Amino acid sequence: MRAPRIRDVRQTATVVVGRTLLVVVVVGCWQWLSQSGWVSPLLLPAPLDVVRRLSELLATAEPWHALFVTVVDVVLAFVFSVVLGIAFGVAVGSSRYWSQVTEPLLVALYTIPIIVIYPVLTLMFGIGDVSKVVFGGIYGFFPIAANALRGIQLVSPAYLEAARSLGASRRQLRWTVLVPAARPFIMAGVRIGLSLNLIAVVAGQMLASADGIGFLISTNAQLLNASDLYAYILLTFVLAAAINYVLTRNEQYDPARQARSKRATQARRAPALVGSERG
Amino acid sequence: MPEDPTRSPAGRPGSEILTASGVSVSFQTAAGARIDAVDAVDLGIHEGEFVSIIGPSGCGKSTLLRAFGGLTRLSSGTVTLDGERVVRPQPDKIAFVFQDYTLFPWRTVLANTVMGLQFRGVGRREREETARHFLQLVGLDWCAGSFPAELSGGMQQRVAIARALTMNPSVLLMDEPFGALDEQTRTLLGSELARIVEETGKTVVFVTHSLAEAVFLSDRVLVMSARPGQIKDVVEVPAQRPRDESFLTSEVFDRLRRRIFSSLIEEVHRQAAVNEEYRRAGTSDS
Repeated sequence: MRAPRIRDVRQTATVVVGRTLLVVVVVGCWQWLSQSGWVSPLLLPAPLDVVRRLSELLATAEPWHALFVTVVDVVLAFVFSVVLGIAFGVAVGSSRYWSQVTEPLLVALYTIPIIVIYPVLTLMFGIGDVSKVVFGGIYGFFPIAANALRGIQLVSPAYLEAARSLGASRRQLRWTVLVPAARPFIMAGVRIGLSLNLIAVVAGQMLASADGIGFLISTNAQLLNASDLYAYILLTFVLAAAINYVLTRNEQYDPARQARSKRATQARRAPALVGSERG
Repeated sequence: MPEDPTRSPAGRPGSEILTASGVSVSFQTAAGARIDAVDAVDLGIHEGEFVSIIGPSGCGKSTLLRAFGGLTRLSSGTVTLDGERVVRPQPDKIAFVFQDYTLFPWRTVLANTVMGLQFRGVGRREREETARHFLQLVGLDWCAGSFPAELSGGMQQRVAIARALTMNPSVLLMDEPFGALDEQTRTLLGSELARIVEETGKTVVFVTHSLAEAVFLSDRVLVMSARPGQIKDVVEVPAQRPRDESFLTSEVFDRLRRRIFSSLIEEVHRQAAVNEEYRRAGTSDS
């Protein structure tokens, strides 16, 4: 890897320091506000109390179980929306007629608050995991399908012509040209989809369920159990941050670009190595 | 000059391989207007021959080339290859090299070169072996693992040529393959192409804007008229192939280039008038 320049390092350091300070200030205000007595600790416990309560809770089985249930539901919902979303986007996107028919509908559905159908899902699937997975899956489906569709439509016709001249069948065209060419769009949709999966699963648990972090949050809110409530909210933040971390890592990961920079580095370091492939 | 120069090139050894009879192609524009791109073209191309098509921009020469390769639907007429009608791409017989977007940026050079064979269902080992062979022929086997973005434009076109050759086609259709390159790179690649064609004995139909390129590479140069494109003029290049760079400064070269230029420039003016007319019609409509 390229050695980062001192200026870059300094700039990165400044940004990190600023970011940390911002968090410290916000948490500090919170601590000050809850200690000042202006706000009842029932509504806003001190951050330190919340952290303490969370660490106590983490010693019990309850949050781990809730976390497990939530993560499993999110993962299943994610698989559901990725598979169906990409399949739909690719199938429809490679036909001009079906794109014209479905795209406005897809965009419209993407905009409406899908949460209105959640009661229907609980009637159909009960309040267990299935309704959360289906609900989360539907939520994540739309951005993935819409992005895949758009990405496929925007693939340069020159690629298609080149592939056709090389004898690609419709199926080969779809999977070796359309999908890889639309990859950046598809990945953008997948990222939005995963965050919606999480939102929808937790929301579903809060509305009607007997399990998961969302359930613990809504129950503790109803019991006015502020420190537990905030502890679980904090836990949700941590989970979202973890997912966000995975997503942004993925965002930076582009195999083509990585291979390129790796090769370029190798070429600089050891020209003989590259040259020897000639023989 | 023979009576029908589009059909009987004097003293050419090979038999006729690609034949166009009465080929016309029309399109509908997005605005609904009909454009006659190619009009009743008759043409016979012989095995091992190198034919260039030159003409004003927008005269339909690329369309004609696509029609030869089965990438465009004809509105009338037929294209036959070895006696068989061409109605769809025939990757085992006809290969294309386009001006740009020819390589897929997410694939390495090797992965790009194997694509045609991959579509055909050739096993991995065999297709990679063939691909490496042709990459070697164009002098680029050393960058098999690179991505297109790491290559210069000229190198990318050489890869595209290698990819076309892996299909072992009898005819190579090239649509301004060096159009996006600078003059010097063009000259180098022209010589390179001449050598490759010599080694492989392929029949080539070559669309170009460059008079020099056309005269240097071809046995025959076809001049197309302004749209609707017809073959206006056929110029034979009476010099043995392959030619070296000294041919570029020879007297024959100059004479032919002047001759083609005077034929071409008329059409360029006519096409410019057609384009303007078309724009004006478009503006008055809206």
